[in-house]
Amino acid sequence: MQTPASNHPAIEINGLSKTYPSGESELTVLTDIDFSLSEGESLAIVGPSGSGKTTLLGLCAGLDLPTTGSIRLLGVALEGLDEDARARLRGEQIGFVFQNFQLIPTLTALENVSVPIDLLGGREGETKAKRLLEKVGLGARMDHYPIQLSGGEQQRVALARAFINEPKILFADEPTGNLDGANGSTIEELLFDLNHELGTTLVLVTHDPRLAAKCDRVLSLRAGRIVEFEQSATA
Amino acid sequence: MSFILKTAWRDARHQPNRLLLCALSIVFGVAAMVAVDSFAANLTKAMDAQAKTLLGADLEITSRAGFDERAELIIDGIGGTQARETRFASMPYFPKADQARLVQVRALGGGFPFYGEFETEPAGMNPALADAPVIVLDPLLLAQYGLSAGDTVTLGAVDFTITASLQRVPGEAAFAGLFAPRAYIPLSQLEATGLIGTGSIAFHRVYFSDLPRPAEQIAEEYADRFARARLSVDTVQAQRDKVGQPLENLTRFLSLVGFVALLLGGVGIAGAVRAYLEKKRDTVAILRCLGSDARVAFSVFLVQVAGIALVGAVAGAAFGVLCQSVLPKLLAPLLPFELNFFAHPPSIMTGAGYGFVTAFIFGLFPLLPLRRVSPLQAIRAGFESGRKRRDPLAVALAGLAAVALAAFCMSRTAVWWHGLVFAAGLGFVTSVLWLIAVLMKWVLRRFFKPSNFLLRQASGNLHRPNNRTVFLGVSLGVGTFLIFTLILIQAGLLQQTDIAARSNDPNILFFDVQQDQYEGLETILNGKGIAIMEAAPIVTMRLSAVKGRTLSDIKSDPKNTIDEWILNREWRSSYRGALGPAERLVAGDYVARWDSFEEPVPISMEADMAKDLGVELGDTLVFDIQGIPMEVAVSSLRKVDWAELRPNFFATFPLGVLEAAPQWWIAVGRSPDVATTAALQTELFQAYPNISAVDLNVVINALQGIFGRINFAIRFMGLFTAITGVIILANAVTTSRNQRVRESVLLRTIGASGGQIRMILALEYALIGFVSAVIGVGLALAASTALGVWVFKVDFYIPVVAVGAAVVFVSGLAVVTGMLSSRGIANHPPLAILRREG
Repeated sequence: MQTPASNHPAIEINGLSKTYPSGESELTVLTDIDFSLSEGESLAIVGPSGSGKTTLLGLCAGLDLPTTGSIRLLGVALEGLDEDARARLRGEQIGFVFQNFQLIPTLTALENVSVPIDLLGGREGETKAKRLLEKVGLGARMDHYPIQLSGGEQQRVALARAFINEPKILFADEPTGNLDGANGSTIEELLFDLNHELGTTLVLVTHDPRLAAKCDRVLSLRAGRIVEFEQSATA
Repeated sequence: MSFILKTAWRDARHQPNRLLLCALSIVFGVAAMVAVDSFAANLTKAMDAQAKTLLGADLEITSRAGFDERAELIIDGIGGTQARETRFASMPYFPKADQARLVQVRALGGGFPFYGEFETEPAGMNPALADAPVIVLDPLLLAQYGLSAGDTVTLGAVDFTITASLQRVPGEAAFAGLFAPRAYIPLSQLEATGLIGTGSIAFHRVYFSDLPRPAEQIAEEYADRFARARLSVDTVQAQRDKVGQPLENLTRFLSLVGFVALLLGGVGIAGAVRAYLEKKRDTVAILRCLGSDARVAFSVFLVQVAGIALVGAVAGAAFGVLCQSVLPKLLAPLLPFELNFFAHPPSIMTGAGYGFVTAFIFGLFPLLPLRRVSPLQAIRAGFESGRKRRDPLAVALAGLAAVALAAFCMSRTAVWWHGLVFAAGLGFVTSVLWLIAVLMKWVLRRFFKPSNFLLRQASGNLHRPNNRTVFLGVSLGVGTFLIFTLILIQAGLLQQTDIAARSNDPNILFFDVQQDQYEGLETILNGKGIAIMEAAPIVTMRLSAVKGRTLSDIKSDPKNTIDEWILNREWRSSYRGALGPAERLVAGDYVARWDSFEEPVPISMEADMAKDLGVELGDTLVFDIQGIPMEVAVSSLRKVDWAELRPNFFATFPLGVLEAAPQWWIAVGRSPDVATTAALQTELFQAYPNISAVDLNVVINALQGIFGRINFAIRFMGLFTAITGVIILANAVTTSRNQRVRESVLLRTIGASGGQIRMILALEYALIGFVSAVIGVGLALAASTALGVWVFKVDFYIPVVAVGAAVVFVSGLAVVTGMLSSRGIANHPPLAILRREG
C-alpha cells in the first residue's frame, strides 16, 4: 500500500464523476468535479438537497469509488486500493462525524471512542479515549450506552471518536443537523477547536450557511456540478 | 375488523421472509408431535387389527415343569381346540459347517397358529403339521453356516432335514431370534432327541382356540386352579397389554421429547416476535397518532402473531406426516406385528393445535407491552421501558402457560405425577441454563477483558443491551443436554455389558451341566486352555410359605403386597460355603455349613428380594424342593452386583443341606477368541449335547442392536430439538441483522477490514456455542450420572473424547449457522452509512 506523502494537497480531485444504474438507464449524480484542499484547511460543501453533497463527501473519504476521474488523499490514489486497503487508510488517517451520530449502540461511550485504535491493534485506546471524553465534557458519562445519552452528548462522543487517531482529515456530514441550537453551537466549537489544535483538514457537508461561513473555503454544488468554489468570507 | 386485517397484511408483506423464519421456529416441534402421535395411532390400529395374531391363539397356558396330572385335568376341562409347544435351549450341530451353537428349540404340534400365519420361505412349511424329522431355522443360522433346504442339522439323537427358513411367527418380533436363533421342529420328534427329561429347563405350552367361553372368563374362573398347579395363563388382551405397554411408554416419551422441541420453538417465537415488534414502534406510533386506539394497534400485531403461529403449525403438521413414515421402518424389527403407515388426521390436528397454541401464547408475551404504549412513548422509548412495570396480564399469561405446560405433560404420561416431574425437571434444567447464562454474562462483563479487540468486541456483544445470549444459551443448551444425555445413558449402559473389553471377566456361560458331566466339561475346557472361573450347583424349588403363611393365604389376602411372579416363580437356588465374588454381606452372618439336620435351615437372601418378600433377618420361609418341604430362616442379607456375569442367586443355602437333591451346574469361563469359542461349542456338542454354551459376546451384540434402534428413535426426536435450537440461532442473528449491518458498516467506515468483521461475528457465535455446549454437556453428565446411580444402578464414567467432540460440534454448529445467517453483513459498502444520514 502506498503511504501518505507530505507536500501533497490533503485532497486532490480531478475529473470526478459518479453514475449509478437506475432501472434501465443511468443516473449521473456528480459531473466533472475538480478541486484540491491543502492540509489544515477547512471546506464546507453546500447545496440544495439532491445536489450530490453526500455522494461527494463519501467519494472523498474513500467510502466508494468514482465512475471516472481520480481522488488522491494525502497523495495516495484511492482508485488503486481495494476496499480493505481503503478501510485501513481511513482507520489511520481519517475521522468521521455523522448527522445521526452513528455510535455503536452495544458499546459504551468509552468503548465507542476507543474503537478506531482498537481496530489497529493499539493498546492506548482506553487512555486516549478517556482523555478525549474529558475534553468534550463527558468524563462522568464514559460507561453509558448511546441510548442513555442525549443527542448532544452522543455527538460529542462521536467527535471524540473522530479525533482519537489524530486524523489528518476529518469528514463531517451535517454534524449539527440533528441538534438544537445550544448543542449545535457546542459541537461546532469543539469541532473547530480540535481542528485548529490538531491541524486537521476538515471537510463538512452542511445546509447551515452560518456553519459554512466558519470554514476556509466553500464548495457549492447544484445538480452534481460545482457552481462555486470560493474562499469563505470569514476565513 | 377489516382495517385490522388489512393493516396486518400490508405491514407483513414487506418482510415475508422474516415472518416465515419466525414460523419456522415451531415447525420441527409440531412435526415431532405429529409424527409421534400418528405413529402411536398406527401402532394402536395395527395391534387392534392383529390382536389375535399377537398370541396366535385365544388362550395360552405355560408351565415351567411340564404338565402333571392335575394340570392335564385342567387343560381337558377347558376344552376347545388345542396345540402344544415345548421350548428349550440347546446346541444343535451343523455337519456341513462342522460347528454347533446355542439355539432356541421350539417343538410345535397341533394346529398352531390358530390366528395369523406361520410364515416360511418356501411357504407352507409349518413343522407343527409334519410327522417327519424336519426343521425350520432362523435365516440368521442359514446365513451363518451356509445352510440351505435339504441340509442336515443334528439335534440330540436325531438328524433333522432343513425344509425352510423362518420368516414370521405370530406374536414374535424379528428380534426374537437375536439372542439365540430359533429352530422349529415337530413336537412328535422331540422325544426321540432325548434332550428333554426330568429336571430339564423347558417351557411347556398349550394354545387354545374355539373355546366354549371367552378366554378372559376362563382365565378368571380357573385363576385359583392355575395358581395351585403353577400354571401361568395369557390371553389376547393380556398379550396386547404386554406388547402395547412398552411401546406406549416409548411413544409417550418420544412425544415428550418432541414437546421440548415445540416449547423451545415457542421461546424462539417469543424472541423473534420481540425483535420484530421492536422495529414496529414507528408503525404503532403512527397508528396511534392517526387516531387508532391501543386495542386496534395491538390487534394488528396480534393478527400477525396468529398468522405466524398458523403457518408454523400447518407447515409443521405437513413435515410431521413426512417424518412419521420413517419411524415405523426404524422400529419395525422390534415389533411382533406388521405396521403400516397411514396419516392420522386427529393426531395431525392435535399436533398442529398444540403448535398453534404454544406459538400464540409465547408470541403474546412480547405483544402485551404494546397495549400500554402511548403515541409519545412509542416514538421516544423502546419496549424496554414499558416492560419495567409489571403487567398483571403478562403475569397471568405466564401462570396460564405454566399450567398448560404441566397439564400437557401430565396428559402424556401414564401416571400423572410423572408428567409433573417431567415438567418440573424441564423447568429446573431451563432455570439452571438461564441462571448460568445470566452468570456468564455477568462474568464476561466483569472479568473478561481480553486485550485483543476482536475478542473483546465479540464477547462484549454477548452482554450488551439487546443481546440474546441467555435466550440462545438456553435453546442451544437444552438441545445439547437432551441429545447428550441420551448418548451418555446408552454408552453407560452398554459399557456395563462390554464383556469383550474386560480382560478378566467371563465371556462364556455353560448351563444344564449334569453333575456327572462336570469333570468331562472341565477336561474339554482345559484342552482349549480355558479354566472354569466359577461354577455353582443349581437346585430348583418353589416357595410354599412365607413367615408361617401359606401361599394361598397370602394370595387371597387383599392387603398382600408381594408380587405374584415372586410367589409363583421357580427358584433356582444354590449352596456354597462363602459369598461369591459379586456379593457383599449387608446384614446378619453368612452360615457356611449346616450339618445339624435341623430346620429351619439358615439361608442367605438377596437384599432386594427380601424387601420384595417382606422378610427380615430371622423370618422363616418354606421351600418345596422337588416335592420335599424345607423350612428355612433368613440368617443373612446380601447385595448382589447383577451386572457381573457370574452365577448369582436370590437364595443361597449353606453346605451340607442340598448336596443330595437333584441338581445341575452352571459354570463360567473366559474364551480367548471367537474361533476358540466356536471350536469349543462343536466339541462340547459332540461330547454332551445337553450342555448349552452361551457366547456372551453374541448377547452383547444383540443388546447393542436393540439399544441402537430405540436410541436412534429417541435421538431422531432429540434432533428436532437441536434443529429448533439452530433455527432460533438463525432467527436471532437475522432479527439483529440490521443492527449488525449498521455496526459492520460503521466499523468499515472507521477502518475495519472485512476479515476483522467476519472474525468478530465468528468469535461471537463460537463463544455462545461453546458456552451453551459446556452447560448442556455439564447438565447431561449430571443427569446421566444421577440416572446411573439411582435408576440404572451402574457407575457412569465421563467419556472425555465424546464430551470434547460434543463441545466442538455444538460450537462449530453455532459458528456455521451464525455465519450463514450473517452472509453479506461484512460486505456492505460503507457508503451506506451516509445514505442513511437523510
